[in-house]
Amino acid sequence: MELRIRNLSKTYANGVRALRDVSLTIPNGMFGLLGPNGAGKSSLMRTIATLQEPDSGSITLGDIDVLTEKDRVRQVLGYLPQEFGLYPGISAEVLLDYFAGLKGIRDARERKLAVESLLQQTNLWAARKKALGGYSGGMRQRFGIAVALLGAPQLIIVDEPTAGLDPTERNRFLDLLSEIGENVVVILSTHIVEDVTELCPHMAIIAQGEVVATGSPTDVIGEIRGKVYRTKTEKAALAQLRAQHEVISSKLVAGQPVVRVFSETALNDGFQPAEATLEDVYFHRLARKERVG
Amino acid sequence: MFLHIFRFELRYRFTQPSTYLFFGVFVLFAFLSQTVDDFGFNGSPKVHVNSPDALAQLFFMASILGMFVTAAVLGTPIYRDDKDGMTGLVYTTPITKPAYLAGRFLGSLLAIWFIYSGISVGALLGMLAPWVEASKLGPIMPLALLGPLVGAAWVNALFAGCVFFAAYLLFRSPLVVYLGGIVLFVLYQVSRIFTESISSDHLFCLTDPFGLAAKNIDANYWTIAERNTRLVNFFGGELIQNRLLWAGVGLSILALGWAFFRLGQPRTRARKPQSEAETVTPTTGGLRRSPQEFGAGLGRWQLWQLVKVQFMNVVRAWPFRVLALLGIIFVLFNAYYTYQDPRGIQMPVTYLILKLVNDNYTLFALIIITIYAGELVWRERDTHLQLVFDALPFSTWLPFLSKLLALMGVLALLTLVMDGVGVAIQLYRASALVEPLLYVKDFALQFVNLTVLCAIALAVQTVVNNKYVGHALMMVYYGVVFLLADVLGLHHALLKFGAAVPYTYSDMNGYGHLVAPLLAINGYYLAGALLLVLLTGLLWVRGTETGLRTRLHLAGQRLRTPGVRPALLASALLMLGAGGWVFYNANILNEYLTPKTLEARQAEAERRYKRYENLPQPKITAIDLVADLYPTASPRGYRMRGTYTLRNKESQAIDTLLIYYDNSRSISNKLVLDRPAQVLRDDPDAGVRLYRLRQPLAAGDSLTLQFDMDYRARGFTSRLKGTGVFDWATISPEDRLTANGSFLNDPGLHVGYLPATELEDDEARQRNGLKPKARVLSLNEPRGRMQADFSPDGDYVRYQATVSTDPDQVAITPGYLEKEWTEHGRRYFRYRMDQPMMPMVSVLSARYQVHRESWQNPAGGPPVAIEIYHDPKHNYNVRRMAEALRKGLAYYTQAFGPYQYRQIRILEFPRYKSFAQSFPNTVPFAESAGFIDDLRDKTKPDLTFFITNHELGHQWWGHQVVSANVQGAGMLVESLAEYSAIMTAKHEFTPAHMQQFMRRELDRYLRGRRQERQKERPLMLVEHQPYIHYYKGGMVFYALQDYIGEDKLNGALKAFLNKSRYQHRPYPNTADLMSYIRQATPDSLQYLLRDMFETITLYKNELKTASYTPRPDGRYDVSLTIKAEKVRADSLGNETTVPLADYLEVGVFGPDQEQAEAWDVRGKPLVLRKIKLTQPETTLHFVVNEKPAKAGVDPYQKLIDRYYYDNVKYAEQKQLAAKPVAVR
Repeated sequence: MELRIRNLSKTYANGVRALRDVSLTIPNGMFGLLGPNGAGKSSLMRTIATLQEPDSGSITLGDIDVLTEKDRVRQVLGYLPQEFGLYPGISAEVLLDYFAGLKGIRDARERKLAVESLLQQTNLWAARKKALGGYSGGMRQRFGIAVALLGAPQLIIVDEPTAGLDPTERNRFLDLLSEIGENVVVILSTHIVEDVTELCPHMAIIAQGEVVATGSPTDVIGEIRGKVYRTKTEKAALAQLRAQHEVISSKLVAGQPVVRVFSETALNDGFQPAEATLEDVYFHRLARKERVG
Repeated sequence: MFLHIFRFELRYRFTQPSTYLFFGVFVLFAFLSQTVDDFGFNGSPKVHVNSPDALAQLFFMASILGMFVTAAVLGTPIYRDDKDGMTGLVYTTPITKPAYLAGRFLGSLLAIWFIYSGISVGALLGMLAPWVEASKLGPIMPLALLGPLVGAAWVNALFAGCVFFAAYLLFRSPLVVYLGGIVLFVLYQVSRIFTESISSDHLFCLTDPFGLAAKNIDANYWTIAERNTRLVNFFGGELIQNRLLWAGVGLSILALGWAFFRLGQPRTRARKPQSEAETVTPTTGGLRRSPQEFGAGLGRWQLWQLVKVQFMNVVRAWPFRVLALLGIIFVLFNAYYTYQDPRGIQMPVTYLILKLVNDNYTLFALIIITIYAGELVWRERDTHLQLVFDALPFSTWLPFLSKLLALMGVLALLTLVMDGVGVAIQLYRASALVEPLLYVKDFALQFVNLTVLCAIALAVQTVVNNKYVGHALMMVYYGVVFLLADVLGLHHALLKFGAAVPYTYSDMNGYGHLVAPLLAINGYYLAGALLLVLLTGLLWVRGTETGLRTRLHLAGQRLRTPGVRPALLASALLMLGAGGWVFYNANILNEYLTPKTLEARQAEAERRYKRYENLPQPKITAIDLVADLYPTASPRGYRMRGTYTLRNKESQAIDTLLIYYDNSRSISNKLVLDRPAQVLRDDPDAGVRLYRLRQPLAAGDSLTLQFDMDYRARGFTSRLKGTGVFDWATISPEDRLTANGSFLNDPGLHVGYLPATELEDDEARQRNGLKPKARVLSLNEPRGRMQADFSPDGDYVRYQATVSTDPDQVAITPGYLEKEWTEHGRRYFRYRMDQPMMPMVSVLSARYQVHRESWQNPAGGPPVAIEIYHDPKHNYNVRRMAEALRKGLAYYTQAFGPYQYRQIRILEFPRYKSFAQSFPNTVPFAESAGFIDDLRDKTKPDLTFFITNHELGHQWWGHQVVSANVQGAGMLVESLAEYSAIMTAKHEFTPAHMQQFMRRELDRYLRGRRQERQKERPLMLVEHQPYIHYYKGGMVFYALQDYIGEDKLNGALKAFLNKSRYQHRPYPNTADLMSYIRQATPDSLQYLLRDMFETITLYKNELKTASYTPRPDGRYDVSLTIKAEKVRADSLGNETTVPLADYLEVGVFGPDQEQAEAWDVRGKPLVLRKIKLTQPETTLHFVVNEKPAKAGVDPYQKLIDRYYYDNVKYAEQKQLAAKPVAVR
């Protein structure tokens, strides 16, 4: 199964251009979609999840035309939106069972097993009888994950799944994903670079509705390998530094800014070469994109 | 701080387009009330559309209907912050609660007050509109625009605004605000029921939170003149109390909400999050991949899951439960009041209970449909679940269909519960009357209608994709279809899509001939709903796209789903088929007539034939009728053959004959004269034929007119009136010839111009280019004196008839049964009247049971057979009716003279029309009038007894004395029949009952005159004015016999009757009667005749003070101060005071023997005498033997007095012993 996105464009009624001529080929396995808030990640994912219509372009999943054969897509889809609510008065167990039924798991015994398994996998077993209205943000997020994983989805789209999860839960979830990710397409959107670095054999960076980089993380990093430098500086000097160099990022380490800079030419003068990371690529691309507009 | 918030709120409100939109709506509403005919609140063409009374009504109605606007403005100021998640930001600023609440509340209150001022603006603009006719407008009175704006609209806005604002403060839920609106609406409805009742007015006024009841009581008996000129006084009467009370209630509720409110997150959302799972369950194995089956049947299975969940969701929601409970309470409340009605109650037969239940819960069903259609459509989106939900693998038609089915399920449950309430009411009152099958049928009809409404509501919610706009649109839809359809010209059932099909169920005839239209029209609505559902399914929002273009694009995509297009086509064909069938029946088989067409046709006929009004015409002298009824044949029908014998009673020869016949298209008319004649004109639209006789009909000569009328029911007709009960004048033959219970009139033939077919209403005449006309010929008009009041084309005639019908039915017509036989499987009856009678013919046929008795005049003569023909189910009151007839026969014979027939028959007919009418020796009585009255409780008034004797009275007044066709005819016929019945009642009822009964007469007269459309007339000149000839007539004659004595008055009537019995050409008029009454009245009371008969005279009597002091001898001195005033009113009710020298009854009474209103006396009279009063204020002293409790002037309210409730007072004990004074 391979998801092919070709020349996808979408402009909202308010004039925001969410997607500009996006083309991606996504094979089986985990695919990381990296981008800042408002980059168009969610628009892209909703479009793949049959919830939104593009202005132009095409999407195919294997032999399915995603844009017209929505019912076929939904049969193999597991989707976790970025934001969602739950009926407050119902317990997790009941609602999950309800969703399982809607997902086509008609056999009552199988449904029960599926629900139990997922509640355990998402660590909601102990709270399965509690009303969803009393769930914390993290628990709600885990419940959403459970819904997305119900059945035997071939295409799993998870939009910012790790937001709101504590580190333990995040790890547990990512393990779960990578386990099923071997045989199905999993698209994971995030703005946390580690999520991608750790898990995804394939990825894309998306900014202002455009794909600015795609490939395996190593390929993507390859383009800036050896061109990243770091230095410590004073806060007052930051502005000057930015004016002189292509600053990728600056972080405070023990109250002092540590700045990473991209340069085609070797830099001395207090700069030390640094190991390029995906994060560097990400910020570098974003910065370039912003400059170009 | 307060000012800052207040100003912010004002700025917010006055920058919102909705504020101006609402304002504009009220401007338009008020503007229309002034400029468009049927939108005004004047109620009578004599009342100006901008009269203070009409304007006050406008402000009250607008502010009641505008309650939803008030909810939208005052229910939302705090909600806004909650909804937008602003609370966190707002409540953490250093605002104080008083400043925050007061600022928001007052800012919004000013906004709603501004919005309501649109009514004044619109009304004023309307008055200035150049095209409104000057005659409809009175002077512009600024106070009439401002007074009710403040007193009605603003106070209502304040009250309702407090309730809505507080409801949100207390519950933090917008749905509760809505519910608050509904509770208010119910309160309003309840108070309206109260106002229909005629006692305990004060309490009822107070219960109406919107003050309309109070205004209506304050202005209850205002005359036309007063309604035009008098400002509604908001600073006095019931209104001031009502307004203060409810403004206070509103502020108290606001204070409660205020006290309860805390600046913080709404409780429901602030629920403490569950702590993270305490123990981590070890994960067992890997992720389970459960197989999904997408085979056939999944859709249905998923649908069932969805329906189940959503149905339970609605049914478990507490607002739904509150609404359903309110509905039940409302129904029970109505039932309670129905069975407490002082004007009489009826047996709880199933159809009446169903009507009670349906009528009263429909409102709640509509509200539930509207609200829960919104809640269901928005269910996923309101919880932000839609992205998860919409990506699930189910077909796109599933959510919409599941919501529809869930809503239908909810309504079915509700209907079942309400039917259960109905059964409970029946079991409680008369358990034998429960008809389970009828409940089932009614359930089906209700459910079909509710299904259509559910589909419409869900479609609207889906298509407009905004919950509140959806609610508003549904209200507009309900308004158009249920209230305004006919005003807007949407008469046809095909156009009133979704409105319930009007029908009348009859115990005698079941659903009868209305089954066919019910099936066809409901089929059309259902097919339309199906089409709507399919189309809406295409537009269902799935995913995040809500733009119209994308939705249409998606709809195109869904349209290509297999099965969609055939289904659309099929439902469209079904709708076309059913609609076409309705159209074929209503418009092609039968003639489709709108009220406007009928009016135009009447006007056209008048223009064409009015010129023949004075054409001499022969009179009917004999009717020979053969009527064959086929009530259960297919098609149903009748044939009426026979001859009219017409004699020239004029002094000159007649060469032109003007014949009217029934113009219904389903009737074929064959007319043949027995002498050569040329048809000059035949006008089937008007039903008029004009003959020129070859040889003129010489004076004194006769000719015969042979007729053969054939009616065959053709399909079904459209129903013009929305009520399902039809105007007898325009009632079509299909409602007269029914399977069980036919009631046909004469063959519909008339000779000579019929002024009665002219348009009477001045406005209607003007619309159709005709000049206003006098309603009736004047008292001594010679032409009128030569005509009988209700049959201008015949005097007393000979009548015989042969009637045939189904073998299991009995057919009856006036006259005596001479022969009965069966032939060719049909049953024949031969009737002949052995003496001339008025040409009033009715033919009835039904499966009757007969109750027979007889009455023997103690003074000798043949016995009178009493026969009551009734439906076997309705034998509750048959004996009572017979008893009434026996008592009536005895009284009337003794008081007025002999009964002219050997038989009197009462015949039941289906309730397609509700009345009773007296034909010669024959009285058809609607099944709803008397047959099902519930007389088991002896403390309730017995209208059966009364109506029976009223109709019996007509055998004297109407058949022995026939009035001339001039002014006052109603007094000779109706007032005297009413008086006769009142007198039998006087000897039958308890005094308390009698007083209750006479109060009803007074009330109806006083209410009737405020609705007068032309001119109020004195009684002896009455012109087809029922409020005068029944109710004032009853009052006047009853008072007169009280003043001059029962025997004296009856003696005068007897002498008059003796003189006028069967008198015709000239027929008697009221002046003839008055001369007899004048003779019987002593000189001292002659003034009464002028007051009662010749003028419109009213009293303003009041007992100002009543006090007593105990005397040493154990008796009591009583002192009464009486204000008395007599006024004369002109035809519009302008009053002038006239000098007083009148005998007024004054009484002192012991304590009430039974429960009574403050202004009624039910105690033993200690003093009761008529005293001549000449001064505006008089103090009287009495000595009585017992301790007085109440006193009064005209305490039994025998005279006409608009303010009767100040006639009686409780007597107060005075401490200071007054000097004993002379006893009068």
